[in-house]
Amino acid sequence: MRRYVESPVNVLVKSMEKKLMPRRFFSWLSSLQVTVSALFCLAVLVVWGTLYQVDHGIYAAQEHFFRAWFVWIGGVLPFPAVKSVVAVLSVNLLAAAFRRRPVTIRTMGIIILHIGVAVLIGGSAIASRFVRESAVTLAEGQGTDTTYDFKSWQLVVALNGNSGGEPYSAIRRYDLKRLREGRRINLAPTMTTLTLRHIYRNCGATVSPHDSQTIISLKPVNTTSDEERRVPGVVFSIDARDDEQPEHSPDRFVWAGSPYPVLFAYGSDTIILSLQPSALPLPLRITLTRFTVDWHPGTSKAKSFRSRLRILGKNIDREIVIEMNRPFRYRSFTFYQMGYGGGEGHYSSTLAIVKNPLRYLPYVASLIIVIGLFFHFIVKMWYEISSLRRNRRA
Amino acid sequence: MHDDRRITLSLSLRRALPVLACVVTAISGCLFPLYSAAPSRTSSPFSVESLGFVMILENGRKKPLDTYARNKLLQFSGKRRIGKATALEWLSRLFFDPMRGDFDKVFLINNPDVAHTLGIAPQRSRRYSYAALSRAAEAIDRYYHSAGKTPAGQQSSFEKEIIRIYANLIEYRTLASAFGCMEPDDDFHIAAADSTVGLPDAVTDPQRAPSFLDMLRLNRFLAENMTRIHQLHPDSLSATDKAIVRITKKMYRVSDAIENSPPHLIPVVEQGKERWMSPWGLVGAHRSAAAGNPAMQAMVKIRIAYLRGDQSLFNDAVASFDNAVRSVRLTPPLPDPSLELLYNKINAFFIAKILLGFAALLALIALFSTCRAVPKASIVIIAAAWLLCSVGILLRMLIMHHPPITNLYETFIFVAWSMMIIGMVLEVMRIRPIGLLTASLAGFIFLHIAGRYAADGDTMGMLAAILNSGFWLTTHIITISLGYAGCMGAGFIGHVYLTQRLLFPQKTDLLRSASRAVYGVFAFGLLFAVIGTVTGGMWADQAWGRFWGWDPKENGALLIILWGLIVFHYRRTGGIDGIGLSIGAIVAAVLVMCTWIGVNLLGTGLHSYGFTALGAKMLLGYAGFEVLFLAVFGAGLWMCKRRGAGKTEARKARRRSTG
Repeated sequence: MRRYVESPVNVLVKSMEKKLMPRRFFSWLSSLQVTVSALFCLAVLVVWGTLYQVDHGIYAAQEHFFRAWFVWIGGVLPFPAVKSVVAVLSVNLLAAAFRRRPVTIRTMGIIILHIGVAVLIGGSAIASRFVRESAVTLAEGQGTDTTYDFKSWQLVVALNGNSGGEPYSAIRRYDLKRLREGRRINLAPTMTTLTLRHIYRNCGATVSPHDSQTIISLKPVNTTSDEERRVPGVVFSIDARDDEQPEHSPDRFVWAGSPYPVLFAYGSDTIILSLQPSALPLPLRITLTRFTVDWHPGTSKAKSFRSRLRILGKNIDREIVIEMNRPFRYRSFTFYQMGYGGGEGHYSSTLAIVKNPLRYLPYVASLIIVIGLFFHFIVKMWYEISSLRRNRRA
Repeated sequence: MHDDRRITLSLSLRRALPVLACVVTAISGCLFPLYSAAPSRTSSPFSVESLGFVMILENGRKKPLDTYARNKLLQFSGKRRIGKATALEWLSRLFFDPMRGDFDKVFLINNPDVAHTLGIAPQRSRRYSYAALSRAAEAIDRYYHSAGKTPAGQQSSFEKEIIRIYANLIEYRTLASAFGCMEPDDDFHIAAADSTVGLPDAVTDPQRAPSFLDMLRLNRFLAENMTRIHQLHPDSLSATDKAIVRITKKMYRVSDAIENSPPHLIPVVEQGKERWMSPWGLVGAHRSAAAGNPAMQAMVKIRIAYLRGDQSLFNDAVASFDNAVRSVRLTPPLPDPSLELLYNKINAFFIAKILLGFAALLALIALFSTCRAVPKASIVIIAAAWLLCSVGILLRMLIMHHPPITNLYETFIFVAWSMMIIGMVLEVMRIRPIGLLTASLAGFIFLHIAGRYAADGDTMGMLAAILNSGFWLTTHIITISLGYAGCMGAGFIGHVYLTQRLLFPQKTDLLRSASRAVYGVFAFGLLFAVIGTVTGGMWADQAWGRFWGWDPKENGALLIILWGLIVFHYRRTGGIDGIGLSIGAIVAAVLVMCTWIGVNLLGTGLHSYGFTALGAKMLLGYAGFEVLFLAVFGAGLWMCKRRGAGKTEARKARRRSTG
């Protein structure tokens, strides 16, 4: 007689069921009711977020719905956003996976499909941490080895001075998305503190009538749909570190639209502030050698457009052609033809550059899902046809 | 025994007759387009058919003039023929004899109030001639400028109609004056009796005034005489001198107004670049040399032959025009128009629509008839319609060298084609009458919608650069369209199921097979929606560098998948039965329509293309219909249950009273 040996997973599940959570809760957590409710929430969020895009643009919708944990209804009432719902779905999926189910030919497809979904969710969560997007516009003959992400801005603080007679120089970068209003940043080794009073994602500036380099106020502008065209600004103050009433310090302004950084002297220290897009260093230098557009005859509609680039890097020096639907991949970097500007004879080419070390994850997950789906439906159809035949014979 | 044989024979005849009739219908349906596309039989023996082979450039595509004529007529009048004349005959008349063409009733005014406001007597046909509309030109112009002040999204139907009419009138005028440089103009005529200088015959011929093109040939004569006249005192000018001054001034005036407006019929390669010119455009670019262009010379002959009604001269002139055009070295060379002319002649989708209409009628008859031949006849007709659609799709692929789906029009055609397959498969699986109804009625509806979209203009537009990817265009769009077809098919069968449930609740076998059909087709739709969305993500990754970007079209596809998952998971919990599944399928169909057409109405995102007012109306109408249907079904079900409960109560009461 064969003795049934319980697998370690089953033992773990049983102990979890007994010790960590009540059986009924575990059963509820892995139930299809939770799945259906979470899917319904997700569907509602997708509709809501899509309609939100019409007035607020795609990036605002992504921030508020698709890349957020909660949506605040009327700024007060929280509603789970896509991240929360996907987290619930993942837990539900994991819990369901731990429930013992017979693995038969009829359930095989569904199991494969759910493994694919798990890989997709997990992969997307991990990949979102590593993906870096940027863009660069090059004229013919121009080259670069650094590109910039105009959707992600940094507050750059450069410090120069003497600390105890020792000259020093330091540059600090703060991601604007992570900064919050009211935050105080210690600017050691200087004896000053930076207080962020207002952070505007998109704003206009008023300059002094006496000095065009000095900004005297910032005014928020309604968020445009195109995040790459946003011009952020920060209202701040610089106070002595031991100042007990920093609110009395005057407002100072740094604006991304201004070509001039803001200089501030405090004793022997110099503090320079500016807003800069996040830089993405490339592993090679790209130079646009030629840009060409093919037109549909008699129209101003482009049939295709392509950039001929010279790429120069470690152990690589060659010419490549990038066009729509034909990107160039190098290690974890992918170079895409995004758009173009200018006219005949003086074109400029805009390239999008994405760094994604886990680029293949969605492909793998999708493949698993499709295989699972096909397997399931083929098996299902086979059984259906067999049953139909049986019925007909009967 | 003899009687038995006769009965058997009569039975088999009775069965075979409808099938035979349908085969005849199908064949005649296939032959009808060839007949209908034949040149006009009543007007004159003169045929302009050869002109249909001439190539023209419009919106970046080189197409036969026959296609151009059809599209223009459809755009102006919403019809493919004008009276008994074909589109090509109408366009030839407009090109070469515009005075006569102005009396063709080609302008469609849908809203009778518009005609009334413009002071035109409303016509039952809703079509008006240029001559009639030109009498209201001032009013049209006034209303057009007033409508132009209203923002695009807030225009009333009256304003939209006025804007459409105005745009059509302008385009009509451009086409009507396309060959104006070849038309005799009395202003260029000089009376020979007054002549004091040696005048060329062309300007003195009392029988025929010279055209602008003729006058271009006399450039030298005019220049020499103008130099002479400049040296004279204005008071000493003779009548001939004054006529030469008048003609020269007119020549300058006309030259200043020359534009290369459509139709672009003549290709020219200059400095390695290809340009297509209209007759006026060629005159504007090449001046007197234009008259020597072989294509222009052939075009002059075509016009003369047309006006004279000289068939052989006309055909010869068309042949020499075609030779002249094809002798220009173009890259790629001009395509052979034969396939497209065949496609135009077959008119496959229109005929398939008619056949499907017949098939739907037979499928409905089959619901109440026990005769087995009726459903057989219906399936034969559906098969014929499917074959025609396949030929149409194949021809379009060969003409455009593209995958089967590249625009919104083609998605409707493809979905109709897929629906026919789904229906036929269901019929083969003997899920009756759902298979027949799906194939015929749903196919008919989608072909009809496609026909409405075709009225917007050329359905074979050129691809944008982003779509220029044969592999992804094929895989993604075909799979997602199959997903749409599956979900729409499931929605359609859902209607049949709910209707059966309401009308024949006791036929459990029928209901079970319908419910299984909803499930199967919905699952098919979901499978392909997933594959389509995944391949779409892969394409986006190739083109834009991200697999998923929460674009409205992507969200729409995701919504269809999510809804499918909700329905299927909920069904597994036992929360829904056949009714719930059918309602779920109907909602999925609405979501498909919202993704398919509705997303374009949002006007945002990377997939925002193909917007038409027709789409908005259709979507609203469809959603309204579904709400109404579900409301009626809900009310009907409630009444049935109430009646059922009432009957049970009555039975119990009767039992109590008898007991």
